[in-house]
Amino acid sequence: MSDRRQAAAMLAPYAAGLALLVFAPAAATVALAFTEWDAISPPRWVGLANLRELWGHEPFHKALTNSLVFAAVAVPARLALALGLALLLHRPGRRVGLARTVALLPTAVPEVAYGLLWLWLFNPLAGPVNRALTVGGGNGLTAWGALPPQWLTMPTPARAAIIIMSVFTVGELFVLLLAARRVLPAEVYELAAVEGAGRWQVFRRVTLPLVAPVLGLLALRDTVLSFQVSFTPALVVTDGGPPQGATTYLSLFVYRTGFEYLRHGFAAAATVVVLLLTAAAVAAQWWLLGRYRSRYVP
Amino acid sequence: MTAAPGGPVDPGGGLRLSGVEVRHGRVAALRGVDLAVRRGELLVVLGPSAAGKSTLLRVVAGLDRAAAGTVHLAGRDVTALPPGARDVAMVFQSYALFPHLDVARNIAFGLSVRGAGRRAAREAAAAAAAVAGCAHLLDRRPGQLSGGERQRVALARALAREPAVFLLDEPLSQLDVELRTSTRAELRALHDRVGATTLHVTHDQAEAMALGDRIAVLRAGRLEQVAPPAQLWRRPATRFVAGFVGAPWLTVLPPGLVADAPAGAAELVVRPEDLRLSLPRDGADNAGGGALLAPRATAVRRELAGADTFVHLAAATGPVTVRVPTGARTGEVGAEYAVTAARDALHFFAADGARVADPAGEGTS
Amino acid sequence: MERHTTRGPAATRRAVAPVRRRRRPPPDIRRHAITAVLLAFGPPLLLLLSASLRPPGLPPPAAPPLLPTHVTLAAYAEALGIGGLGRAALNSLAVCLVAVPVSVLVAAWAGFATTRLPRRAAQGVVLLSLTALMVPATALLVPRFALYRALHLTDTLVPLMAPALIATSPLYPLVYYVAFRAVPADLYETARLAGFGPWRTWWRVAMPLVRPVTVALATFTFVLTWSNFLDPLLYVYDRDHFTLPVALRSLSTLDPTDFPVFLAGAVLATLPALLVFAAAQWYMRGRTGSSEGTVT
Repeated sequence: MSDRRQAAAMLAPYAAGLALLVFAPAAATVALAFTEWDAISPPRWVGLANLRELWGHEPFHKALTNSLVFAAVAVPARLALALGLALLLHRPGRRVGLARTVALLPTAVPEVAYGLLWLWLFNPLAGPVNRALTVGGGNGLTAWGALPPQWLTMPTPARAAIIIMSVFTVGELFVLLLAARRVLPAEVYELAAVEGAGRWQVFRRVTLPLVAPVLGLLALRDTVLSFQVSFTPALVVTDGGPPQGATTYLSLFVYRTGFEYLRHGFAAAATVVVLLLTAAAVAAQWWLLGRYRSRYVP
Repeated sequence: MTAAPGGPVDPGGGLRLSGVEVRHGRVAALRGVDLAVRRGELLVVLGPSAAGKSTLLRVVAGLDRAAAGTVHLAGRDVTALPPGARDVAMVFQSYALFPHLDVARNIAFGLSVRGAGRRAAREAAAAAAAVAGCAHLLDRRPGQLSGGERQRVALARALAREPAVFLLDEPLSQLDVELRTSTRAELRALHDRVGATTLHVTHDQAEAMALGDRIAVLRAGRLEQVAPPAQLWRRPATRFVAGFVGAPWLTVLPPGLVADAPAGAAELVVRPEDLRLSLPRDGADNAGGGALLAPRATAVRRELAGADTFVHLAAATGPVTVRVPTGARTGEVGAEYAVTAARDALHFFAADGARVADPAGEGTS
Repeated sequence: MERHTTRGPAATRRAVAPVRRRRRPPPDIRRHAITAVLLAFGPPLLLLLSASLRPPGLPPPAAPPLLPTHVTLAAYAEALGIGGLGRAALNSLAVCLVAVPVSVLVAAWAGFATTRLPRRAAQGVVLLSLTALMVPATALLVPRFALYRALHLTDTLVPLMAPALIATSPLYPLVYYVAFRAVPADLYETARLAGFGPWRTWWRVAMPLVRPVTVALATFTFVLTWSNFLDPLLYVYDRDHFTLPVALRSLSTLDPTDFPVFLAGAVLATLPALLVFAAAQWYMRGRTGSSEGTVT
């Protein structure tokens, strides 16, 4: 085999995988969006009917809003926490190794197991979270006499619960930001010290601008992922409720519509909306990053 | 204008280190360094790698903590102060320019960190850039600059704040040889204009000779000698300085070869450029007021070094290396020569490496 | 002229003075923050462990101490018995044993082949991989389902191993690509002079040099495959083919109030992932231990 053929052979499995398992299905989904299909009889072309129906479909609006709110709150919170951890733990020191490991642990827990853990932690009566909140209070009230959050039975606490869960699984972001911080040259920090910069100045004028490109890419990736990571917790912990649809995100909406109500065409149309949203998010952040980079490197 | 502008007026307001010791973990990086830099002086710290040169700068800047001793700057004891409160500016080996800031903002960094207004900082940056010769680069980014240009920007940043002392950590080491020589001259001219107290670290003796008002030779955390370049070369205080400063290939001979060698000398050292070759039979005559070091030495190897050629000879007392002009017909391989040197070109060192005063030699110079 | 240029900064200096000096925060802040991290991230998993050691079926105690008074493994026995977690764990293991090596191999081949491609083609591979990363999972579910059904692969473990073909995540071939490009070109030239083709160069030269990358990616691949919930949820219905995550989910729906039982299951599902993580970390520390601490 010639060199070129050998290289092509090594690339072949991946190329076949991408075509068969990613790009062909994605294209098929876009096509399905214009059909009505129950996975039993052959798909029926319905044109824009699915999209038109989505336009006025209350549960879809709810799922869309839920997903956007989740992304808007969880992504910045996750990035901020991961950056904070990385800056706190990039230097060796007492208990730093332990803290790094502990911060990574929740990320290593399989999603379902993690969901079940929080299902218990958030249990309004028996869960440790509310147990801790009612310490010092009587009759199931907090020390300041308020009712503790009804995590899994009220819409807003339920949404907050999903976000709180997601904030603890920042291990990947943390590791990548840790690496990004560690490759920054020591000399710029020494220069800042000689020039008299305080901690906040060092963060704002040195660290933040220097890790900004990495931070931007991670924000992009996390936004895209946020449309999917909410699936398992919403299914396992809150079951999409309560009440009906309070924590049904786009991913869960698509799953239910397709695989429980067997409306695959309609689900595909919703997916197309997710695709467009993703593309818009990518384009917007890419543009921002490009603007930053044009100022950053020639 | 020789005094450093800005800063409190203090006649003795240079830099003084007394008994400074620095440890990196268990390794002692500086072992009791006493050094005074006069106000407006450019002092070069010269030494081999890992001698503690950079540590010396860093302890002045406050980046390394002194385990013992004190640092006085412009009349203040700054030993306990954090770097930002010491009023020093540092030019790092890698220049440490911020890639996300343009040149003007890089230069103004220290001023804006200290709360200067945008316009004031910009004006100061422009002025400093003009002094350092990079005024035409203000709108560029570090990624668009050549090595020499970066070096100027780093210098301008140090100048902008007019600190009490400038600390330059091998600022020329990142430049190629040609640029290094010209930048060296510019650096000296800049110092002559600004007249700021400067501590300049290098491992390059030519750079040290060309730049320094005085040179401090550092070795294994100790100062070997602090002296003006000419004196350093002419009267090395230690065996180490004699070997480190000047051309390679020192000739080391037993001091007994010279009749009036000073007491306590363990080694007789001569630089290759101070040795003379002559035909064996008239060696004794040609020695004149000097010393006949080897009556019969055989040239074994010639080594061309541009304008000069080093002739290596084997003598009864050991190897001898003599520098001759490349065009000269002397020093043919295989031929025998007498080796002589002027009396005042002989350096005597004790067993511990310290220079032994030589009344006979120094009297003639 | 000189006079003028040097006066500029001096004037600014006066304008700036007095120099603002920030008080350095006490060094304790860092230590307290580290303690806070330990207190925030540690308890959830400790609580998980302690709750799984309680006797099943009992109502939770009024004020739970961290360690239950009656430590028992009964919940584990019940989870393994009723939940069929033992069989599910074997299925998960089977999937991982096939999928993880294949996935790493696909990623390494693709990454290496990309370094051998002309610039344009390599950029194409990178762009396609990045695009694939951005495609939301929901866009792939239905057509993949149709595909597996057409191939009569639903209700087998094959759909769960299939993501290995795209290296589990299209990010991983890119990671390998970057790692292989960072290998000094001299080494590749030496291999070429020795008459090695791409294949032998990959196996004999490139792979040994990027072993830490392989360990890291194999770890992530294992954890992702082991935790995969969506694929078995969609493509496997027969309980005999359930993997651990789906079995765990169905166990939790069986009796949602019997916390000790499904939390014991959660511990069982978590342990292998943690063990693999720990092994990888141990390996990395052995290699980079000396450099730890020198980078600040």
